[in-house]
Amino acid sequence: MNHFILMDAGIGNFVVFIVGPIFVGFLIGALYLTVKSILVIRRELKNEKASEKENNEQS
Amino acid sequence: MEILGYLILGCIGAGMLFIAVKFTILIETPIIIHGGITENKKYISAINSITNVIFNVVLVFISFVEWPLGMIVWYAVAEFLLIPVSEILAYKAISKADIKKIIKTTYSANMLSFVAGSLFVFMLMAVLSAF
Repeated sequence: MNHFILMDAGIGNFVVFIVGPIFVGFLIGALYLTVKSILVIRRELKNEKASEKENNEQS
Repeated sequence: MEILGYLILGCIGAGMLFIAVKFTILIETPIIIHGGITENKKYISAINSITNVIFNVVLVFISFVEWPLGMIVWYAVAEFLLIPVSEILAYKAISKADIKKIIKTTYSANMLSFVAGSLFVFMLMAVLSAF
């Protein structure tokens, strides 16, 4: 993206070149952690249900 | 060369979030385990990560629009209501412990991480303001 468009909109150099990349990294990290957590929660709940079913069948 | 700089800055942004999440997990996991709710460390970490990520992302967006009252309201509502309630519901789905015990342990873990996190941010601000 051409950063001059952002500059014309009144956004300063510091925001475009320093805060922008930090924020993008922050958002990518957030997305990664969210997806990973959702997958782990789903898997663990499934495991828990399966072990509960197994216990019920044994008893 | 420019790209490398952007990558380093991006890693700093992601690292800040990872440190915040890790800090919460380090405080809350022992309390949840010793409280007798669940011993599933992966589940505890995942629940804490997801709540902490949502809390931090919203907080950063509010800080961008420079609305201090909104930040205070979000901080209070999230720390005292949204995060504990969602964690209680999540632990209830996997734990066989009594609901009162889950509520008590989850709330105490969250309050401790809230106090520790606030102290950490306060000290960081104090150190940064010295420069």
